Amino acid sequence: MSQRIAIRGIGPVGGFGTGKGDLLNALETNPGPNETIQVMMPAGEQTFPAYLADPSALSDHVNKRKLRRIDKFSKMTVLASVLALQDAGCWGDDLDRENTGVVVASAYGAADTTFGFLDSVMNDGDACASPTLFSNSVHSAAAANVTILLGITGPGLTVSQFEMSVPVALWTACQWLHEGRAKQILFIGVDEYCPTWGYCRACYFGDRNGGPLQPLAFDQQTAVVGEGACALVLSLDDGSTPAYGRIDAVEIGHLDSGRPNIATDSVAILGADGHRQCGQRYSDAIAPDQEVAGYAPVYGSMPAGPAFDLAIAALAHERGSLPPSPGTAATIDVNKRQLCSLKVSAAGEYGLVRLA
Amino acid sequence: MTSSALRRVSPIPITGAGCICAAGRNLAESMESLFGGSRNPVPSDRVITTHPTRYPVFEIPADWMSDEYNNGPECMRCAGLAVVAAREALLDAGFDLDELRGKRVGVCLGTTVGSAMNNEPFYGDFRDGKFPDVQPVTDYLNANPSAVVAKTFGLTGPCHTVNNACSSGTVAIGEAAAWVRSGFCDVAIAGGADNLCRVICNGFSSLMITDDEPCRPFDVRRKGLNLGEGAGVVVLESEESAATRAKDRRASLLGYGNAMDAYHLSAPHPEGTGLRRSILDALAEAGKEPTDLAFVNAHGTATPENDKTEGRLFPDLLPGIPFLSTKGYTGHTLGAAGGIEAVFTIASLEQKRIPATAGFEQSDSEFPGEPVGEVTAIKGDCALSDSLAFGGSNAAILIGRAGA
Repeated sequence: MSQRIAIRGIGPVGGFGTGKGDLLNALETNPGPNETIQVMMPAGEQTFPAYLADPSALSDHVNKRKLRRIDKFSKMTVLASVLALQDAGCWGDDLDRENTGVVVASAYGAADTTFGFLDSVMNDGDACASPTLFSNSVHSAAAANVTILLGITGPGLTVSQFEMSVPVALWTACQWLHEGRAKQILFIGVDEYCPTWGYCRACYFGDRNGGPLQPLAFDQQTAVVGEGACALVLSLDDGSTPAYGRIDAVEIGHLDSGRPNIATDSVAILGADGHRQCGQRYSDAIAPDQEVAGYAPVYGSMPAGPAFDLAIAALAHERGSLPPSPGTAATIDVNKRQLCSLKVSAAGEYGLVRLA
Repeated sequence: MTSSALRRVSPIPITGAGCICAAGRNLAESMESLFGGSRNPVPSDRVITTHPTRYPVFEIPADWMSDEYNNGPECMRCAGLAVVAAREALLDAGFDLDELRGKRVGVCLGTTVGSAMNNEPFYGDFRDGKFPDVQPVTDYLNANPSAVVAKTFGLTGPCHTVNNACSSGTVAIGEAAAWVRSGFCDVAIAGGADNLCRVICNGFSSLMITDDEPCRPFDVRRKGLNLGEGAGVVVLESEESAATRAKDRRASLLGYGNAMDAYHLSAPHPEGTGLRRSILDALAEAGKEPTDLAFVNAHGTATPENDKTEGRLFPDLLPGIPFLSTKGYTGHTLGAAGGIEAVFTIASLEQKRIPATAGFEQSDSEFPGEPVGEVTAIKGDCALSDSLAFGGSNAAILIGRAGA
């Protein structure tokens, strides 16, 4: 990239709570999953831990009546956006609506609403399909609701590429800023849990859904379901000193063509979230002596996880240190060290975000 | 209003184009149908709903698809269409498909159905407590259209699926051009793919915007859209890549605009504010004026609101520029529409003529714009293709004639 991208605000919403303060607290106290989910299986009901988000605080910022027909997926996205804009100091009349773009990265979209639409058909017949649920089930509904509720008229994009959703969408967000397509971008990574996915996870992973989540145990299946949304406010670096640092580069590659080039003195925040199929790929992607961190135990296992990693990296820049990865003791001093965020897919694709 | 900081950009060569839709199994066949004025939407015997009305759709005949896709999981149909169009486009671009393996070729496709987990039998069994096998979910995870195209041709470049609803294909092409322009990759396969399924049929019926007769874009008697399926794909290359292969371009991607209405989840802004900005941004990137346009390939779904929005905007923003809708030949192919209409635009520029707007006969006094009602010769070296989508997403791309 010819010009760096400044991170001006962050807005995290997840099982740890809502907002920067709750995320910081979770990084310090490592509370783990906040809820449990029940999944009925042939052998009986199984209970698993989960990191589930509560977006009800959105009604503190947006008129409740406007939220009546908006589902949880969109509410998480809008709330994260509001928090990030407030954090960036450009909320309300200070929001440049015409020159703000919205980029949403989500692996599965509004999954619960997708199945809710099928419910409307199966319950009452094809002719009783719900138009509200159909409109909200489209993957781009969250981005649309952000623009509608916040009055944003810049460009909009929704990307779904499973584990690669966040890095590939982030590349576009940065590109838009370089092109002048927008002066600032609301970038949101979001994924939600739904009971159908809970059943699928139980089928795929059985009692290995019980955690605890150990992202750096690459050869083990330790994923614990998570949902949430994390927004960043991005703009071109104007030479001032952004509180949260800058994105230096976003690189998309494939391990078949070689490892990502990570300097040995940098710190890599890995997007590993306890899925063994991806875990082995992290072993392939990093040098054996690479200093790494993994924060999925703070927010749970979800493809949108790298958005939270970027928020954590942003906080590290602000505070001068990375908190210990859950399960470890060492705070990492990041002054004069490059941070990067690395996400690798089971197929060997990787997205590397270099921060400065 | 344009994005004031948008700069004129370098054209990106389009060296190949391909499509499959109800109008034809490839681009040449499709254009023959368009210029011949033939269309025959009929109710599907494959996608069955229990609506009292059997809505006509533009479905691709089974024998146009390989057995692999006809007999495979339904969720692979979208990816299968994408592969067919991508193969045609790559061969049209003069590539030896084997030479692409391991090369940093990007894939950027738009879709709606292709990203949604819509398997009704699986979900029905789950909610009925029958503990279904998760193979349909595994199939879904392996059916992402961009990933399937990349895997089919052994490509290891950036891979990205756009989910901007009905503007996805246009957005995907615009974004892929940025990839090539920035050096993210030297070659990109871009466009859109989508297929007919019960969810789409039920969804659009629930919104009461489907017509029980062949659709009539911009016609005063229009009642709504006909659904369709297909894929449209272009190959974008850097100048250097195209030059080393001594491959003449078919066209150039000159500009791209993208803007949100911020108005409603399922209706366009009545003033077309987002569409206006998208078009102006595309013109600004291309360094073109409205008077430079040979024609506009409109979104033209035949819904009352969409056509009114475009029918008001075009005469105001692009006075005197002919426009048409090709959805009377293909149906509304959702995420594929932008890709299919881009390749139709390329072929129309090459032939220096545009087809009639199938289904249009009587103008609507609510807006001054009237599409071409017969095959029309065109002047000018560039054309616009625009798309509007649920949630107020608008996108426009400007395509230039080769050699212009």
